[in-house]
Amino acid sequence: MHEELDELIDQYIRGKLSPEDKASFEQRMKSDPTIHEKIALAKLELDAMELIIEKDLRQQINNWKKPKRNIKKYVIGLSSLALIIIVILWYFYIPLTQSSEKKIDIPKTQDSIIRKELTPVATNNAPDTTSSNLADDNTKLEPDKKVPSVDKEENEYLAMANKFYMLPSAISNLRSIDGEDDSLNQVLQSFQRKEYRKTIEILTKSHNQIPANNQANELLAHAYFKTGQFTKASAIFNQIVTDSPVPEEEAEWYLLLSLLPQYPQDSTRIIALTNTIAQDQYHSYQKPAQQIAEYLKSH
Amino acid sequence: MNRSITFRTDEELIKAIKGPDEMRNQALYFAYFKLGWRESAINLVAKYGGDIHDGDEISNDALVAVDRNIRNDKFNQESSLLTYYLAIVKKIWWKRTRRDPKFKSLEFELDQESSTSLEDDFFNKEKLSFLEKVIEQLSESCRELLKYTQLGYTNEEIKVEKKFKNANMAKKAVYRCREKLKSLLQSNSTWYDF
Repeated sequence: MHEELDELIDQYIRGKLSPEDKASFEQRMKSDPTIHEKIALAKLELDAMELIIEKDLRQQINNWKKPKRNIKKYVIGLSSLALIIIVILWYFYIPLTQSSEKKIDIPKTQDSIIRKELTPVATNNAPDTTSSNLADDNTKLEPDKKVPSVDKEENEYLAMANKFYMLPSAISNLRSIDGEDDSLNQVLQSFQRKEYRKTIEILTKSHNQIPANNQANELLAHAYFKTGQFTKASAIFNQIVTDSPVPEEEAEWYLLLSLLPQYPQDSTRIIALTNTIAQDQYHSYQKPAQQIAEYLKSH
Repeated sequence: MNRSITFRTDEELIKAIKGPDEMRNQALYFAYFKLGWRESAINLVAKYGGDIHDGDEISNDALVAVDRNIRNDKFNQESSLLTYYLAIVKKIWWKRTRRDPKFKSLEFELDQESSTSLEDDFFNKEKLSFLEKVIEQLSESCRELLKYTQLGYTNEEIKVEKKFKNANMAKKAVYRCREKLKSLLQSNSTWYDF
């Protein structure tokens, strides 16, 4: 009853009653004086609600007049920034993404004079596994795009690879050689200055101008390792091992280290290679390989 | 709010203004800016001696009045909406300046019918002040529910808009807010005088 009266009053003050209903309602008003007060209150209530709408609209109008933030410009700006960052990352970190997917082209020519200097390094010269090879590295390790090294487990293998890695003394002691191609000397210099990204850049950009020899590829592989691009590094070391007519102990060892950060994805191969080296009493890297094998067994 | 929606005719605008809040805002925005209502109002006020601030203020007041009159079926559709809007602009400006000699005289003849149709304000100052104080005491959610009620939303539409579990809960919430509003209105002993 109460609700019905409210509804009638509401329609009456909004002028929505039919002429008959309006007449009937006005007749009712005459007989019930309290309805007048209810109508007055309902009108005031309606005014209050209109005022709410009015204030809301005025707020809207003010918002419309505010300088509109050009979202498109923001989006374009942010997109451009993101694109620039991607291009920079691409330029520095993954210039060889495509080429590394292909077979790495390892020159098969005779070793150069420099190569001869490198060869004896591995012999009876296994790296000191207690030294931290990255302590003096001025290049921060950048994650290899191919290696999803984000979880704790993977980081452990990465840490182990870094722990055992030591730059071959033949490379670290290498000096530019008179008569050798200038472009290779430039690579050597940048590598020894620990400018690994630059080394990669030179080697990958002007690969055709650099004499085809294993030296360039080894430098490239170590530069990849130093910049955390383990997939690319392991691809090159693997190619050296595969293509060499004689056992390439050093390349085998660095292949193992390059593969280690990828252990969760490639454990079978890594265990096999570790065991091969660890069980070879004549292998220059038998001892550190045995340490790795023990570590892998315990995990 | 989608500002790119186009309204091709006055009928489309009127329908939208009488429709849901979002559509109503889009229609008013379209008329005000895209159809040049605001600019026309400012030019009209400037023609009669007002500056851009006067024009801006009057253009707002007239839009609020047009919105209210359309929703409450007080626009008789005997002229275009723009003509109607500018007539209200004129009326507001005339009321404001008619006793001020520094402004150009604005002839504004009012007959009884157009006066009703061109209703430009509902409240006197005392009533406005009283109502403003009352609605300030309402919660934000209550104000919103009352706005939807006054815009003609059904309980089902309010349920959707305010994410009530069902239409009955929406109805109860609206009822509570209306009771609260009534109570606040009656708390002033002079409410009946308004």
